[in-house]
Amino acid sequence: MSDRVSSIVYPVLTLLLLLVVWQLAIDVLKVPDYILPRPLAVLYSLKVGYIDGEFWPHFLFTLRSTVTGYVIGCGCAIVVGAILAESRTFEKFVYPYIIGLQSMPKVALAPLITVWFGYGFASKVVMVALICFFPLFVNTVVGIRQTNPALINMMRAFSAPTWYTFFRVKLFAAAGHIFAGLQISIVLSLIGAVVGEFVASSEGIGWLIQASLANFNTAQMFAGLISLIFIGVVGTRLVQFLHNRLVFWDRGTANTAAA
Amino acid sequence: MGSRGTAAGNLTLAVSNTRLRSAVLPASAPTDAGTHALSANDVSVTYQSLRGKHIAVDNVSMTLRPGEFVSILGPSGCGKSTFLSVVAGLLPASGGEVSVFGETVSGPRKDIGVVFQQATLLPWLNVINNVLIPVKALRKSDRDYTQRAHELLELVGLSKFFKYYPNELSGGMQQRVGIARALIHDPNLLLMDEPFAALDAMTRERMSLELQDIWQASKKSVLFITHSIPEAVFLSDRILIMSPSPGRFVKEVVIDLPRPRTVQTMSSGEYAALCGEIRKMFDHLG
Ligand SMILES: Nc1ncnc2c1ncn2[C@@H]1O[C@H](COP(=O)(O)OP(=O)(O)O)[C@@H](O)[C@H]1O
Ligand SMILES: [Mg+2]
Repeated sequence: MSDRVSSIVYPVLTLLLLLVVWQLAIDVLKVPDYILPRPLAVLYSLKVGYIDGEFWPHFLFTLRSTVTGYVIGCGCAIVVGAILAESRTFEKFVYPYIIGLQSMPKVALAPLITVWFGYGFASKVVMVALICFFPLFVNTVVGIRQTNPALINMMRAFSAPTWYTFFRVKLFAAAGHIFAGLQISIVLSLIGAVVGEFVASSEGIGWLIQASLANFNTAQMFAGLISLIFIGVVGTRLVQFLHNRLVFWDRGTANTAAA
Repeated sequence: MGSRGTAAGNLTLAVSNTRLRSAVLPASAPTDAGTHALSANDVSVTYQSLRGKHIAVDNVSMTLRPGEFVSILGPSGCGKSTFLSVVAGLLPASGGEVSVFGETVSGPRKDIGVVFQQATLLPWLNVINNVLIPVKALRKSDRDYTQRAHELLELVGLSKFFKYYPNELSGGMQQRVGIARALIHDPNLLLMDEPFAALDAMTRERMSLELQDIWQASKKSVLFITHSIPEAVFLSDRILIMSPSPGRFVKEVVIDLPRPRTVQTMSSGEYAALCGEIRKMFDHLG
């Protein structure tokens, strides 16, 4: 079997085995539905959700807030990271606060963010942006600062202006680190969106999962989880693809990045 | 730019079929008689480190005539790279003064080309774009120089590889790209810091032969740094011998072996005698 085929078939076999064991465990151990739903019930819930259409508004709400927050958070992280990496003065002004913010668990801010930005879309976006800012920010700073000094020296020897060296050498040298940060931030952005919805929301996959608690609808919780996994996997794959494409000279970093 | 010009129009390089290309790169500055390509007067460099002051280069003076090939030869750590950095305008001297074509060096100059020990190519650019870096860095239109870049790649024997990326090239090929890059903006002075040190012995010998060809074709003034006695003897018009701690020039040896030097030169008695003589000088230094 070719590598391509086996890389699809083998995981599918694992999944089937898992489903069989899951179903058997429920039958043998007589686990009640509200503790662990049978696989078919989850499948049914997904069908009701996505074919009959009940989940779509929630799915799109979560997707929209995640993507918007991700883009804003990551954009800020790269810009602020680049400025900090280049300016020791700026670093001195803001560094202590950045360390402080970084060591604070961002999810603890969720209630406050709700107070400031309301129950809707905006508070989710802020939560997502905040939570995916830091890992990418740190990676950007580290990436730019670890640029091989010999390359910078070479550019200097050829009379390159500092800004030219920054855009044409340092940013490229940091690209591997930046993409690694972008991958980590994908997963974090989903956490941000879900926490935001847990705290205060009337829509979204996170809200759906929490709402399922009211009637112990565990099948729907699983369906929600699967939806989140789907967004996470597709997002990660997309970033990996771009990483491989754009940072072609440093492919080694692409597939090991996601922590 | 005048006579020192790099007007793109006359950048043509006649590349002959022979191994030794009689090609003439655009003529370097026909400098005023008596002007040195490079002169260093009592240059000192002191590094400040945790353990205190360290004198890396101590009161060094030298001159380089236009078109001359001069080597600085010394063991590693004796201050060769430090001195070269000062000449390149990358490091301010703690004392003394360097001038290039009569002008005091106060920072990197546009008429100097540098070749480093590590090829320092940008891995995200292909060979031709790496060669064009100095031109792009100087914000000149690289379209005017593409033709010249191809000619230089021809000169260093890499014309077929212009689309390759650095990680697809061997160490020797990368270093050749580095040499082409150092010549692209038609500098008058070429500084080379142990350019072949990272290469294996066989590649190294071939590179020495090629460098001589390139130098003769381009008529550049070259300051070449090495810790290899045979390499210095093969390539140089003159060798400055540098002793460590603190770095000083202790001897000057004129190499008057006829040019062009060939593989036969390397096995000649004269050549061996010169190498032996210089080796003895180092033994005396301890
Ligand atoms: N940036 C630096 N800071 C402190 N000491 C240095 C620095 N660079 C070089 N040195 C010291 O200066 C001396 C000369 O170094 P270098 O010029 O690199 O020697 P070479 O090129 O001949 O091997 C060495 O003893 C080295 O340790
Ligand atoms: Mg050195």
